[in-house]
Amino acid sequence: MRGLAMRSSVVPLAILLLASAGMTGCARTVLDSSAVDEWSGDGAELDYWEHLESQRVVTNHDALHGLLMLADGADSHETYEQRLADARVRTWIAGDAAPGANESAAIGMMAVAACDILSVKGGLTMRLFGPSPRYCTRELIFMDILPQRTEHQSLSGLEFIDLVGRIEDRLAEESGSAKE
Amino acid sequence: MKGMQTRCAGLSVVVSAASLILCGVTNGQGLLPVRPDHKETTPAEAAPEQFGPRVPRPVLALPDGQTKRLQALVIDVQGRAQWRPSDTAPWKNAKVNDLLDPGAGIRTGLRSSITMRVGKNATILVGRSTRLDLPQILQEGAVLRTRAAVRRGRADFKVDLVGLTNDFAVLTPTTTLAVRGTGFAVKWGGLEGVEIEALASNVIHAIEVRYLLTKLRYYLSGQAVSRESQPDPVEAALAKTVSRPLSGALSETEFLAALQSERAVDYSLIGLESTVALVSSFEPPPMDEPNGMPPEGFLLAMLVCDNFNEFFVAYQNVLDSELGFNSLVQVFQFSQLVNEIQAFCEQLEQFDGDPFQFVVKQVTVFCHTYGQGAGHDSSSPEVELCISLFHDLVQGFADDGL
Repeated sequence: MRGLAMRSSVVPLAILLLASAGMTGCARTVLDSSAVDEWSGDGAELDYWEHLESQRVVTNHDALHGLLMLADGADSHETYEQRLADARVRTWIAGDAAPGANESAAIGMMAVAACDILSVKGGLTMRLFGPSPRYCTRELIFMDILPQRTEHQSLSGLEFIDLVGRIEDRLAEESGSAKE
Repeated sequence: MKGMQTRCAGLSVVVSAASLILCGVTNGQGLLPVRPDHKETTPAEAAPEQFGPRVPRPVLALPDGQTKRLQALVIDVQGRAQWRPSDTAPWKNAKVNDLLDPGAGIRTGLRSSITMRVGKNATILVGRSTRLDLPQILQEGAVLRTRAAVRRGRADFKVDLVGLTNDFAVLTPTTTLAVRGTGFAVKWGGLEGVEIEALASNVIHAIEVRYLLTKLRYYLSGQAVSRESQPDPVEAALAKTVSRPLSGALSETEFLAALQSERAVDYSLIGLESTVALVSSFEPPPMDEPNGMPPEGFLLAMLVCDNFNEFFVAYQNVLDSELGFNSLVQVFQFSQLVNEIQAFCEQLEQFDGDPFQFVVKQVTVFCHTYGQGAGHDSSSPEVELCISLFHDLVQGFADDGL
């Protein structure tokens, strides 16, 4: 009887733990603020990278700022909403998606932006259905720009700076201004 | 003259070098009046004769136990690049000719780079989105000790063999690498950690040549003058704490070929530029030669100073007869030159650097202003003749000294 009673109390507890683990596992990390909140504008680029370096995850706001600077040489937008709208126009982010500014950015989103900046055509699936977070991530892994990651993971600030640098290196190679 | 003879036992050796230097004027291509015995030669052809003796000499070792702090000189900046002298100092935008002491930090943005000549044996190209520190740049006796810390990003390191022991280490957050006398690029990032790549040697060579070309223009422009009381910090650094930005990169022949192909430079100026490059070159001779003989720059300056009155009266006469003093302003400019050199001669013994280079620079500046006063532009034959007359005179006095 005692064993049955114990079993009956453990099972709901285990279900509750599993459910809570599942719920929190799907949620993304949210920071209090992004580096770009303080360091945006024409003269603050180097400070932005410097502060991003010590950030444990790169937020959507920071990622969009960095990727827009990479794509255009400068980011003239002032707010997250403007950057998000621009990213939607560029199809980096799906029209119905509304990621939070200080939420950790998904590698998939950054990979789609990278595919756009590098004009990656991809394989059959990408050619048929267009760039998607999953296949762009796989393309970047194939191109040795990203190590083995999945599209839902996030990057630290230091990793994001490295990713942007690797995309820039690839751009330089492709534009024929490679070093050697 | 007597003093000259007693002090300059090795003058005969030097005069031959001086003759070669002066050949740069008398046989240089371009703007000089054509003489009957003049023969057109390309710089590459002329190089072995004119520049053979100027094959880069090795950096000299310090006496045992002696230590000297070296510096880094910014020779190229692209895009956004900043540096700060210490961790707590504010960042400032990097410019060409900035001098960095050990302990400096450097950072660059996207599509940006900064290139530095570091100490006496290295050139570092700091690439995009990079943070790099230079905690140590010094010479200890016969060892050139440099530490460069790549915190993130990419940097290319070219380390030259200069005759001393290279102790050059590159630190990253995960690895320490040593460079003995070659080069490589180090990338460090959050995704893959440290990566070693081939050196962007062509890019570095191009930057070094471009920097040298700007220095040549600078020497000719007359816009900046180095005085003993107020020496140009870049030139002082090139003489003392940063050395030979080009020596490991190009041979003289290659350099001249590069000069020839450089579109930005008027080909007709090469003769003059080569001459100025020789006498006021990137490699000012050290003040103490290994064999104890005073360096050629010092001997030539002594030649001028010991025969000061005789020399400048002769220079004034020859200038007057060849070019003519057309205005009081020109006479005044000449007297200013004489005063400058006289003040310099009085403190020749204490002069730190190549004294003959200083004299040539004063004469070059004078000739440019003199030419402008007569309505000539800086590349006119009259200006070059004004300089070459000075060199002819030095050669004449040197021959008499024998």
